[in-house]
Amino acid sequence: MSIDTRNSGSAMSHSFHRRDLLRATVAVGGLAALAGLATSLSAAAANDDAQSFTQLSEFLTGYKLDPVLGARYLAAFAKRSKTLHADIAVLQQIIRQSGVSNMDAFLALKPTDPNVMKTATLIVSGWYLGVVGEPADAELITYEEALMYRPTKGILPVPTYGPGPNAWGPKPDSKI
Amino acid sequence: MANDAYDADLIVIGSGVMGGIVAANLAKAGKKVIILEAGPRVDRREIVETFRNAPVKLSLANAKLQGAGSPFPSLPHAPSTYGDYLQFEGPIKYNTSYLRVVGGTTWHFGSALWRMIPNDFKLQSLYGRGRDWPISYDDLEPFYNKAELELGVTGLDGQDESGQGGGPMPPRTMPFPMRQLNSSYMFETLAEKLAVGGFNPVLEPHGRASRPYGNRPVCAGNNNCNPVCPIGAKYDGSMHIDEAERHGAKLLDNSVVYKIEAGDDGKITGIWYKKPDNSEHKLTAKYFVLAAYGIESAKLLLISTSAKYPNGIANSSDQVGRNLMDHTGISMNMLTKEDMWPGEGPTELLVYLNQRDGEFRKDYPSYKIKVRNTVPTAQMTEGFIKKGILGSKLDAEIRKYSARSLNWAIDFEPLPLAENRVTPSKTKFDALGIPVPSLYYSITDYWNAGRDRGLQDLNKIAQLLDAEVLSTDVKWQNRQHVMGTTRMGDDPNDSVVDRDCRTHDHHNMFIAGTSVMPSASCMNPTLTGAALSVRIAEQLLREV
Repeated sequence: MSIDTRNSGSAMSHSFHRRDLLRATVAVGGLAALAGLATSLSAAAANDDAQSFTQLSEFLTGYKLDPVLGARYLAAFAKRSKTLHADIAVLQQIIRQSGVSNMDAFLALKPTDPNVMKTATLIVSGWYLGVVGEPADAELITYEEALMYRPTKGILPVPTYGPGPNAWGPKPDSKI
Repeated sequence: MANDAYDADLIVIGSGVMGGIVAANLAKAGKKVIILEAGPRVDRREIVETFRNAPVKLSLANAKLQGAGSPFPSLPHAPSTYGDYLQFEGPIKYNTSYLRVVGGTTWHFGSALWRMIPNDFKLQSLYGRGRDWPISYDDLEPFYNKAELELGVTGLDGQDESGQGGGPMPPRTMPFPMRQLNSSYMFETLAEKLAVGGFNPVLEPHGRASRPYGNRPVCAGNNNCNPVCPIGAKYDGSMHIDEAERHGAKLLDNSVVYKIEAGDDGKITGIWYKKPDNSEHKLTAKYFVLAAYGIESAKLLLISTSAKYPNGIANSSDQVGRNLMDHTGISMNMLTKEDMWPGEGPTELLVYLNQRDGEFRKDYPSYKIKVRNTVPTAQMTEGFIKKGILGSKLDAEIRKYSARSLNWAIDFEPLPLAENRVTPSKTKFDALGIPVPSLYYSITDYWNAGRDRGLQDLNKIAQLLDAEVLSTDVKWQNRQHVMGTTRMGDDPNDSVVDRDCRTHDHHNMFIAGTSVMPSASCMNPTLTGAALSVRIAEQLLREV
C-alpha cells in the first residue's frame, strides 16, 4: 500500500489518503468502510447516521477520521440546520452516482448544484477548523485534531502542544 | 515591622510584574505587605484548557466580540479589555488589551525584555524631539542587571542591540542570566538573505527559560506565548506574587481600588476598595505603590478627587493620564518562494534595529522591524475554504502558506502628546459604578514620516526575499505597550513622579510601571519598567 506523499513523514499513521484506505479495504474483502460509498451508503446512513457521516467526511477530506468526533460533528451541524440530514443524503447520492473514488476526482466533475457544494464545504470546514458555527455561536469539536494542522504535522506545532526543548533549528524535512 | 497604627508597611495596588517585584522584595525583607488586585486568581492549567477549548482563539479580528479571543476571565467587577470595556475617543482607536487578573498582563505578553540604549534617554537634547529622562542609562544599568535576574532573561551576549552590526550595545556589566534559545531555520535563512541588503539580525532578549530557572522549565516551543505559556517556562507576574506570598505578603484578589486618600500635608493616608458585592473597605499603610497598569493607574488617580485635591491624587501638574504612548505600528504580509516555516520554537525572536538610533530621529522616529514567528495555519485555513478550495489542493495551500507566508511588523517610537490621554469616562461605568477608562489617541506627521520610511524597508525586505507582497496594513496597529501616563521628571510642574518614581505631590507614594517613562524608545518597555520597580523596592527598603 502506498502512502500519499502530501501526508508522508512522521504523520503517516494518521494520514493515509482516503483512496489508499479504499484500496486496502477492498483488498481485505470489502468490509463496511468506504467501498460502501459506491454501493450502499444510504442503507448505512439509515442504520447509523454517525458512521455514515464519518464515512462521507472521510471521502470529502481524504483523511481517516475518528467516528467519535464524527458523531459530535453531526450533532453540532444538525443543531444548526433543519435540512442537514436531507442535504447530506443528496450529497451522498450525487457522490455515489458519480462513481468516483476520491474528492479530487469528484471536484474534477465540477458539480453544478450549489447546495451540494455548500454542504460539502460546510463539512470540510468543520473538520479542518475543528469548529462548527459562526463566531457568535461557535462550538469547538476538536482543537488538536483539527485537520488544518495535518499538512504541517511534524514541523509546526499545534500551539500549546510543542515538540519539547531545542527541537527546532535544522532545515525541516522538505518532503513533508 | 509594621506599626499597629497601620494595616501594613506597604500597600501595593496591582499584582502585575511591577507591583510584584516591589511586593516580593519588601516581603522578603520582613515588611508587612498587602497587595490588592481588581481581578481574580487564575490557574495556568485552567487557562490553557480554556484556550484549547475555545472556538474563537485569540485574534485581533475577533476582539470586538465580548470576552472572545482571550482565555482569561471577564467579570462584572473586572471586565476584560477584549470586550467592550474600554471607551475610545480621538482619531485613532487605542484598542489595547491588558489583563485584570493576579499576575497581570505579563500572562499574555510575548516576553520581549529589552534594555533601552543610552541615547534613548536623551531624545530632546540630542534630536530635539519628545523629552529627556531625568536619569541616564548609566543610572539605570545596575537595575537592568537586577531586573534581568528577577525576571530570568534569556539573551545573546555580545550583540549590538542598537542594530548597527557593531560591538556589544548597550554596555552591560553583567551577562544575561540565561543563554539564548536555539535559532530556528527561518531565522537563519532570513538573516542570511537580508544581510545582503545591510540588515543586521538581532535576536531578542526575552523571558523564556533556556535552562531550569527557579520553578520554570525550559521553553518547549509550544508557540503560545500569547495568550498563555502552557508550561510556565515564560516569566509572568504571578511568579513574583507567589514569591511575595511565600514571604508573608497578603494578596487581596477581587478587590477593586477606587479611591486614594491624602491628608492636607500631602501624605497618602489610605485607600478604598470594593469587593464584587459592592461592599466598601479601607486600608492604611506607611507607604503606597501604585502599579495598576498605565491606564488603570492614571484612571484611579484621576477619580480620587476631594476638596483638597480637586484634580485627583498626584495631579498638581495636570499631567496624570496625559502623554499616553504606544509603539503604534504597521505590518506587511508576504509570500516567499521557498519554505521558511514561521512558528518553529517560541513566538518572536528575530528583529532588525538598523533604525534604532541616529540623526534621523530629528526627522522620523526610531523603529524596530520584527518578523512574527507564530504558527500561521489557523489564520489562513478559513479563508481558503471560503474561496472554495477543497480536496488535495486545500492541504497543498495550507502547507505552502504555512511554510512561506511571513508577517513583518514595525513598532515606531511615539512622541508624548498632552492631548493623548486617559480620562475616566463620564458616561460609562463598570458593575461597581466605577468609570471605565476613556482613551484619546492620535499620531503626528513624525509618525507618518516613520511609516513611509518603514514601508521602504519592508518593501526592500520583500525584494531581498523575492517575496510577493500579499497585504499591507498601515492603520495604526496598537502594540499594547502603554507608556507615559504618569511621567517622570525633575520639575513638579510638568511631571507626575520624580527621578525615583516617587509622586511629586505625595512623599509616601510611588508609581511603578511603564507609565513613568517620559519617552518610549521603539522597544518593548517591560524590562525598563521592571528595572525602575527594582529601584523603587531598594528605595523603599531604605525608608520603610
